[in-house]
Amino acid sequence: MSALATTEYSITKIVKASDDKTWYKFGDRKILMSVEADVRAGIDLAQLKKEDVIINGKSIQLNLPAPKIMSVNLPPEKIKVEYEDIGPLRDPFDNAARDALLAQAEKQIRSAMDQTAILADTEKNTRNLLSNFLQQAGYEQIEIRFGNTKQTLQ
Amino acid sequence: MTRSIFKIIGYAVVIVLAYLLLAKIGWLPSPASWFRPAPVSIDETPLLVNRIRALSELSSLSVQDEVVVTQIKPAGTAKQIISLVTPGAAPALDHLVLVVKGELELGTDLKGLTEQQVFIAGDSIAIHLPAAKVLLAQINPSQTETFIEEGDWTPDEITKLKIKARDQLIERAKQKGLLQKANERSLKIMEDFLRTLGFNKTSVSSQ
Repeated sequence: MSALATTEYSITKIVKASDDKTWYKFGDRKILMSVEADVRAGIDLAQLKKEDVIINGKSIQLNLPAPKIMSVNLPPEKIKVEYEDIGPLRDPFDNAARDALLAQAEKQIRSAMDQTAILADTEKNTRNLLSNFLQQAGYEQIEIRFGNTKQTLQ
Repeated sequence: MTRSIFKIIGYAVVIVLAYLLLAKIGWLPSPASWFRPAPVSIDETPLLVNRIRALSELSSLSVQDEVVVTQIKPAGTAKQIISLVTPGAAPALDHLVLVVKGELELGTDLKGLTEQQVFIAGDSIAIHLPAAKVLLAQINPSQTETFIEEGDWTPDEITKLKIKARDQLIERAKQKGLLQKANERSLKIMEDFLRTLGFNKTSVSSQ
């Protein structure tokens, strides 16, 4: 693995579920949890080849791979059960049931990240980081491009 | 009268057999599915971005590992009373056993790199990188299996156990010498990257 992570988004999501669809269970139970996820994005340096770097005297052109979502982390200490309403004939949600709901939330977060500006921010941060370094290295004209394909590491 | 009862039983048997046959070939739901709990789905809710942070982390090693963590505590009052009045019964205890799969990313935080640690002269470059560290230790609910959950466990008690699992994963990675390995790989990646950027003479070291 060789990846350069340049952006992290901290995201809050409310997880709402109502368990009232099973016909032989009397009464329902509801849960409301808040989740804070840390989503990191960056570029995969392993995809960078020699031909992606064009140097001409004091000018340099870098063709970098497209930014990717690298991780979606749901730290346990940032998951809170905010509210539970359990019918008198029902058992409370156990850990396995809560984790199953949180796994759905994780999936929703992954698929909704495209609607945020995380990949655009990653391009911006990567460009800033490398431009500063290349300026320090003596390059006067710096052009950094990114691939067009959007990919997500699972 | 008897004949019509036999007729009704005959029809019932034919209907049941036909149902079982259709359930077997998957055209009708099986009898077992009648008592399967309906799946619980969460509502679609929006994401709220709280904070955006610029990073400069070079991930050089990704590791997947698995740990089993256990927590035991005295059971609730009802179980305690039953255990006390039952001759020869062991003390009532609640058990919680989790199988936690985690993913660790190890590498170098380039934010710790100061101007004094980079020396450039013509096509030569020397960089002194900060030491590799654990950049990410991820244990998501989708990767956690509740193997045993007896008794009442509060979300806080479960969170503490999950944090213990994450600490164990980090400790195990350190014991296996993965930080040193990540450090070596960071040096190699940085050296290759610098050569790609046109530097002919490179010297990359770490703390």
